[in-house]
Parts: sequence; C-alpha cells; structure tokens
Amino acid sequence: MILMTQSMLFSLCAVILLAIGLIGFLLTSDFLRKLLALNVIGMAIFMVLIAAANNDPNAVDPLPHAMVLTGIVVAAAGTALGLNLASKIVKFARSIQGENTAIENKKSNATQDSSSGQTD
Amino acid sequence: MKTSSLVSQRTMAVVIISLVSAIAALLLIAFIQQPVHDNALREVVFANLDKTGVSNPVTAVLLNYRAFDTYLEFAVFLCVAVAVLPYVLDVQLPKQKLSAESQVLAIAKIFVPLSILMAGYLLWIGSTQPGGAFQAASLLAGCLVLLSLANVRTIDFSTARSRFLLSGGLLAFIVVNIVVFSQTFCFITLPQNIAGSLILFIEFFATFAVSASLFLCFESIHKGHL
Repeated sequence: MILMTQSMLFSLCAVILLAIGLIGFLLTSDFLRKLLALNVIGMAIFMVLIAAANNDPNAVDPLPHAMVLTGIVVAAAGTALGLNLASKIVKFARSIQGENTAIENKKSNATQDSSSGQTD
Repeated sequence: MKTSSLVSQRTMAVVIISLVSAIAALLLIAFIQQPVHDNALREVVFANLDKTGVSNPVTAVLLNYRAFDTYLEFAVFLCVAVAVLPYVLDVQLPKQKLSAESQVLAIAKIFVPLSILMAGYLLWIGSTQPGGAFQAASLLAGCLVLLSLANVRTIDFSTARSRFLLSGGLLAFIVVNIVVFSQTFCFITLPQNIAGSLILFIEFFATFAVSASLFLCFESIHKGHL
C-alpha cells in the first residue's frame, strides 16, 4: 500500500525535476543551458533532503535542513564560477575563430595572387 | 552525410531520454520501498541541545555538532572568491557619475537600510529561531547587488581590506578554535558556558565574508565580461 504523504509528494517531484535536469544537461551543448540544468539537478537533490527531513511532520530532522542551507549558497557560488569559466571559453573560442578566418583570408589572397601571376 | 548525423543525433536523444526515464522509474521504486526514516539523529540533536549554547537545532548542527563541515564551507567560499577575483580586477570600471536620480537608486535608498536591519535581526535571532549567518549574508549580498546596479561603488576588491573581509569567516573560525584548543585541549569543541557567544562571534564575521563572496561572484559576471 502506498501512502501519499507530503514527503512522498516532495520525493516524486524531486525525481521528476532530476529527470528534467538530466535530460537538459545531456541533450544540450550550450554552456548556459547546461549550467541551468545542473542547478535544476541540485534543486532536486535539495528537495529529496527536505522530504527526508519531513518524513514525520511532528519530528522534523534538523540535520538535512542544515545541509540544504549551506548547499544552496555553495550552489550559487559554484554557478557563478561556472558562468565565468563559460564566458572565458566563449571569448577564447571567438579569438581562435578570428585568427582562423584571418589565416584563411591570407591564404585565399595568396592563391588569388599566384593564380593571377600564372595567367600573366 | 548531414542526414546521417541528424539521424544519429535523434537516436542519441531517444537513447538518453529512455535511460533517464529508466533511472527516474528506478528512483521512484526506491522511494516507495524505502523504510521509514527512524529520526535517530534527531533524538541525539535534541538530547544535547542545552550543551550547545543555542536553542535553534539547525544553528546547533551548523556551528556546534558539525562545525567542521561549516568550517570547510567557509574555506570553499574563500576558494571561489579567489577563483573569480581576477575577472573583477582586470576591468577598468566605467566612470559613471550619479547625475540624475535613477530608478534603481530610488529603490535602493528605501530597501538597503531596511535589508541591513533585517540582516542584523536574522543574525541575532539565529540562536533561538530560524535564521543565522547564511540568511543574513544572502540579504546583505542582495543589498550590495542593488547598490552595484545603481552604479554605487561599495567594495573595492583590489584593496587588502576587502581580502580580509572575504576571509573573515575562516579567520574567525581559526582564531576561535586555536584559542579554545590552547585552553581546553579539545579540537573544534566549544566549551559549554561560552559556546553561545563564540557561535555569535563566528557567525558575525561569516555573515560579512559570505555576503562579500556572493557579491564578488555577482560582480565578476556583471562587470567582468563587458
């Protein structure tokens, strides 16, 4: 027999959130979306902890609460670090792309020069 | 070539979605079949609550029972702050004068004093009711973000003072534990009679350290990549 308690409902929602986050993390190649998906997974884990703490509504366990409290702030800091790294990677990729296009332009110019030289 | 890669991408998506739904189904079965949580640790927490110096069980867990965890948490914050600091230091801040009264500044003028009061209150009641260093720190960080959006410069991260602010929580923790260790020879164990005031001392510095770190994280994204 399955009793639909409040903590059971929270666990169910957490599993759905975890599935959404995992799919978002694995199916996209965009840094920003990957970070958002990681945050969704983190929230799912916090929800599991809160649900575990609230198993008996008359005797709420303070231990998972303390873990979630610090976890939220650390998740925010980690997201900031990830965003900074993603921005740095995008900048680096852009500069590499710029160099490549410059080299290709030079090459095409050189071939054009040589071909024009041959026709003369 | 292009169609085949598209097809393989689609098969990959199908495989990933089916695997994730299998994991979700497994987790659901596990949650339904789990034995009832016996709350054994809760009994231990409440049995020794009068020895911790605070009456809020969450604060007692954070800063007395599992103080080592929180101690490492402050170290994590310092690591993040050190990691994102270069992004802030690189940029030349645009010199913008507050000539006209902006909307954000008008909001900040009302909310910043209120939030600072609220943060102080949250820090103070943390020993007896829900509240404490982390909640107060997030409120203070919100204040700093509001001021930063209104182009008010609050913390200059290139000075040595700001570095002390960032490492304040960890330093307070280390100082308290060294002093306590030299007196009682117990490692990270607060003496019962002064535990409450020591916890408040650590929380006070931790509030400023965590709020400065969170604000630094925001600044590094906001100003560091213009």
